[in-house]
Amino acid sequence: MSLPKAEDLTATWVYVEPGLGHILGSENDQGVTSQMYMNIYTAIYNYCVNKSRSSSSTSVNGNKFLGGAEIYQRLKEYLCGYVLGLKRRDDETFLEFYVRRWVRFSIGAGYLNNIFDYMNRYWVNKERTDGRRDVYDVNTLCTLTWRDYMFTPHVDTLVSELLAQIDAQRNNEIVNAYNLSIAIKSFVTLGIDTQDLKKPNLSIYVVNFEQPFVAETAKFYADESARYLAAHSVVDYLTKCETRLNEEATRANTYLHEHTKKPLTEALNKTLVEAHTAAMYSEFARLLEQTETEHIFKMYKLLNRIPATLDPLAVTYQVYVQLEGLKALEALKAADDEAKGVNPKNYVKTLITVYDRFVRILDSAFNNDAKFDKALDDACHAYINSNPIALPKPKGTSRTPELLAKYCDMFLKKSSKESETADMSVDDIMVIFKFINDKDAFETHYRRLLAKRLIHNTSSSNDHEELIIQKLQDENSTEYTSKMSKMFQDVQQSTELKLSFREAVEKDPAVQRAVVPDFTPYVLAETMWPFTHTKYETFKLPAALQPTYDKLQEMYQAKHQGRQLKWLWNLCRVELKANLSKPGKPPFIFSMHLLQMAVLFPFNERETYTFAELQAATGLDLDHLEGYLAAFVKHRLLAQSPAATMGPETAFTVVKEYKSKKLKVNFATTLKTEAKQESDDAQKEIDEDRKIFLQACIVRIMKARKTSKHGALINEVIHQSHARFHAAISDIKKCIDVLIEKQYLRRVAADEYEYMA
Amino acid sequence: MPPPTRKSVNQFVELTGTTMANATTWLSHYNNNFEQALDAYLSKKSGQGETSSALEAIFAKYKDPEGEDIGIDGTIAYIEDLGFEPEDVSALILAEFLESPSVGIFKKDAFVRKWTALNVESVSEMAAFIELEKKRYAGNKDYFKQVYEYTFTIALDANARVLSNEVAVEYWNLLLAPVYGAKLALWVKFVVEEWKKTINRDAWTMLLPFLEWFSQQTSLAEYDETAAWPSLIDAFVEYVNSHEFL
Repeated sequence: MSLPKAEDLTATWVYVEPGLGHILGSENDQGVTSQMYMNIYTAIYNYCVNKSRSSSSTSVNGNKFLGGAEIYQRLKEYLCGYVLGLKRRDDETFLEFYVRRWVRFSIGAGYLNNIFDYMNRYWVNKERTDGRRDVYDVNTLCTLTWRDYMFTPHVDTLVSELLAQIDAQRNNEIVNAYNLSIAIKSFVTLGIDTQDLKKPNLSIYVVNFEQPFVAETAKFYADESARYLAAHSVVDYLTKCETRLNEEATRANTYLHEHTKKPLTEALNKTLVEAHTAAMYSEFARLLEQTETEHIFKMYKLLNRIPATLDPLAVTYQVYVQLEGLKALEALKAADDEAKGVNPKNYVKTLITVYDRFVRILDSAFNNDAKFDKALDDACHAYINSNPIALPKPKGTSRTPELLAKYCDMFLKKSSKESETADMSVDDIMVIFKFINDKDAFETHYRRLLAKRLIHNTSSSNDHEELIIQKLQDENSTEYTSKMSKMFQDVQQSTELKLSFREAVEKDPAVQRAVVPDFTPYVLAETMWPFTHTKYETFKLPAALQPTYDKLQEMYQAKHQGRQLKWLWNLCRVELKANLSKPGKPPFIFSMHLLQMAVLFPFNERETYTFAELQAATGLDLDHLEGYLAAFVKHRLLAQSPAATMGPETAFTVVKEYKSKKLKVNFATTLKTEAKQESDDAQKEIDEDRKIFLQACIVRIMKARKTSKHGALINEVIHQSHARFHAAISDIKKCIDVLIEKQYLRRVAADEYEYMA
Repeated sequence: MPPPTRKSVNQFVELTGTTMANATTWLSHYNNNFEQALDAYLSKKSGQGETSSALEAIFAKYKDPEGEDIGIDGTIAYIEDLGFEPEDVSALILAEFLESPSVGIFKKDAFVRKWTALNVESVSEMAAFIELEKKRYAGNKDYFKQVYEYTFTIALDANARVLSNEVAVEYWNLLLAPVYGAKLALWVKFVVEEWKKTINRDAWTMLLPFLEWFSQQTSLAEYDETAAWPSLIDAFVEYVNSHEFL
């Protein structure tokens, strides 16, 4: 068949039309040969070129006339007829028909577009440039024809079949996923903005598919979840949800447009999560009790889809942790021997056990979520600072800082058995330290015990000592550990002093004979160490010690003029050789306080003394002398007569042979009054330091602000003291009172203060 | 009663040629009634000039022969001549007016200056003025507060910064008991039986607003111990609550 005449529209169309059917895949799809394709292309090309050339002279405004309007109209009519003529086969559903045809039609539309390439490029382009919005390139024209004559008339059928398929898939039936995918994608393709063909337009997809789909989904899961929960446990429900949510995610990725993810997620969250929070909350406490971490994690993941729904869970968690902490300590208190008081190790270990248990849950079940981290933190602060052991009475100071300090002492002290310290660690200490409110109280107690370890040389590991100080400093501040660091320095310098003392003594044999061998002096900066200097004004230093005393004084004064040495007699310890053994046995080594030794020294001269004589010889006060004598009597080193009461005339006789299995005997006695004094001192020191700190803090703030409202000042003081201790408002107010009285501050209004320079 | 407005003070100064301070005194004294104050001032003004010698004579009469000021004996005599009891609010009003630095002491400078400003030159006029001030004291909360706060100053012993609780209680009974009755009695009970220590100026000053608030309460349930009240008042509230006095 030869090509039609270029100027003859009807002939050209008659020539072209049968081929179009082949290209678009009419009923018995035979396909297109390349010859046919070329012929059609050429016929259309010839027609358009001829039309344009022949009409060029008639152009009114000099614009080039382009041919194409008539053939475009023919094509439009043809496409309309073609689509309307497509028929579903009896053996296929509408969906199958739609997909089969759409796929073929889309391919054909692409070819058609190429065939009408010349028209597209010139006539269509020109028309659209001139502002006509109802003329399209052939591909778009095909799509629009499909939309208007296939899609729109049948959209209800199509959507309901699609939803039925999805429903079937949700009910585990096997469906043709390919059909679903193609059909749903066609909704997107059909969304053409006739104003701007390049602009994606989802309105058809959203209105016709997405909205019914999301509504259907919500309905499906509202029904299913209610039914499921009525028949199954919450734990099963969590698993079910997990599966369902995974399925929906896969579905969304496979067939749905990106746009649907958000409304779909919202619908799922609402029906699967929000609607059933109450059931989950009530199950949560049980899961916690039984430490069902895996299930808790599932619940966490599910609720985390709507983070706000986690809040009640975090509250429950916090309350539960706190209660568990209190329960553990209640049990410890009940088990402990009331009279002996709580064992610091058991106490700290109990605190840590609870913490560890819930930290593990935080990690494995809550993914270390900040909300739960904070809940755990708050709960730990609560039970660690305030519990039946730390605060037996509701008002008072928490004993936790003191007990932790004692735990540290057990850990660091030489005398502790290894079996006891094996499960103690620096990390444990730091965990609890972090939660202590009154950091200052810990520092005071720790420093007191550290002081004893240092001067009695009872520290088991210098490395551990340093590590703890370093960690405390990291956790708090350099200022926090400054006194402790200075204490270490003092001990270091004292070791040097000891060596230079020895050197000095060795130069003079007379002095060397007179001084105490192995004399270990400690020179401590008074304000850094927690010792109070007691004068013991009447105390007489045993004559045997006098040369040592004099030599050190002389040496130290020569080196540091103007420094004053105060002797802490009550802290000095001695070891002495006692020739009270059976004949032929080595002498005993007694260790005791220097003050105790002073009581024994006179017995070198005679065997028996009265109380009054001993008092005159030592210059000790009644309390000390009585206490020490009673201890020696109890240890059967001295015999008392009469035994019942102690008075000025009571006689004490030293035994001739001391009986002890051990060669080394420790007589060191701490008087009860001294022990009590020490713990009172610690509390007093803490209170005093706080007052000074708070006053300094208030003055500093007011100096900067000049005037401040009461509330703002209180808040700032609390904020600034937080790292050291939790300041009570009543204490801050008392400091404000003092500062007003001392005229650092002035009240300028009922609730406003002014700084007075 | 608020203090006189700046405008009325300025006007008064313009018409009379007196000082701002004087104008304020006159206006306050007549409860800010401008015309009355002006009339009174102008009717007094004729005698000005000699007043100072008349006032000096009165001052000399009571002056401590050994010193510069009116001492305790002179004060007692002066108050008697004015017709008041020494243990009466009038004596405190007089002391506040004449800027007495301490109980039983009047300085000549303030004595002459203050009375001259009012053109008062006789003891009977002084008595009449104080009588009027006493009425103002009863009706004007600001003036009441001014006298109350000044009382702390004159009640202090030389060089002291705080009052013994006995002295404080005495003055509270004199000044505050008529107004706050049983609630003041409760406070006094607390100070005497529980606190037993001295009273500083801040606590003294803040007691008045506290009682003012307390007088409108049936209990202390609404008391905010974190607010700016001095600790002494916190302690009072705790005392009352723990003993269930209310």
